[in-house]
Amino acid sequence: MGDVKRSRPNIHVVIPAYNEEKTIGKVVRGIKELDPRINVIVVDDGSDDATFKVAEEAGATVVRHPINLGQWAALRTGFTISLMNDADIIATLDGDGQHDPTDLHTVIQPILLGKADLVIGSRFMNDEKPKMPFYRYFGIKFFNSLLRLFTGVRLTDCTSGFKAYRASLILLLLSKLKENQYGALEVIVKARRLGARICERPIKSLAAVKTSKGKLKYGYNLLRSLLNALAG
Amino acid sequence: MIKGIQLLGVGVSVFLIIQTLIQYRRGVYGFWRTMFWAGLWALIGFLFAFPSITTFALPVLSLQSAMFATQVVAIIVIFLILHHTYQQLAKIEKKLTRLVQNLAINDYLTDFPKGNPSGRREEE
Repeated sequence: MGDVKRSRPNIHVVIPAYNEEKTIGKVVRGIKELDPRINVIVVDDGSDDATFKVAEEAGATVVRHPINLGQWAALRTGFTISLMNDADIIATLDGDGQHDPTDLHTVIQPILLGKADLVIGSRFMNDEKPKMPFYRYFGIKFFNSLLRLFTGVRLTDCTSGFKAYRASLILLLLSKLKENQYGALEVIVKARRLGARICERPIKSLAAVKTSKGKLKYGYNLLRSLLNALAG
Repeated sequence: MIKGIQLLGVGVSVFLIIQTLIQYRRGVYGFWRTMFWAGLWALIGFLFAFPSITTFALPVLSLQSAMFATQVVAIIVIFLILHHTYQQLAKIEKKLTRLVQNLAINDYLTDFPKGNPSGRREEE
């Protein structure tokens, strides 16, 4: 998939955001403080609030979906923009502030060293375990086991939104990704099928996340997307 | 003599045939889609008007009564329509997604015709 050999790799961070005006500014500033040369692309996925304005003021390039399509449709738009801008490494993290931008270097390191094509930031590899409802915890374990069974990839946090990709992998993957909302497992299955080297690095989880993830509908859709990806 | 539920069935069929033709006149439906739907509703109306016509198919379908045959056919037709609708929805969702993404990317290119001013790689 080609190593990142340039003296200064072009790193892009894509953040899908839907009604995240309270947190998106802090997330973008956190990345810019880490390294102002990192390009932050916020994809405002049809927000009703001031997400667009706040992200732009914080220094991000903001792309807007006129209507809400879903997290993974927003990520695909961000990936396209990053590829148009010659990115070498594309990282993704959530706009709700649950990820610590200072973990970015940890997550992209295996790609810079040429040891991986896709790196997943795992909240379960730290000593301090993330706070989440038990059903969500066991749901993640369940999907980790399914992924291991079907793809042979051993993961501890397969649904994590904090990931880093070698841009050449995204180039191959982009047309193959179909899910608009529940693409976390699809991307792993399809990357694996392309022969990508996948690994995890520990990341911190900053807040107890208020999310619809973990509910029955989310679990069902993850399972559906996993089966679709395996069959497709 | 048509009576009772038969009248309702025929009435609904005629109404849906008229609706289909209106959609054709408005250009919403193409010729073959109009033929399909108008034909389907005409067939259903005809079966309501002359239910005894299904008796000839009973031995072929290994069914005992005309009523049961009608129910089985109705269920099959309903699932066919459901499947068709689901497929159409999936297609529309895919097209809509692509449209919205292209709109967003075109807006971006209008703002930054040469790419992101801060996002481009520095000349090495």
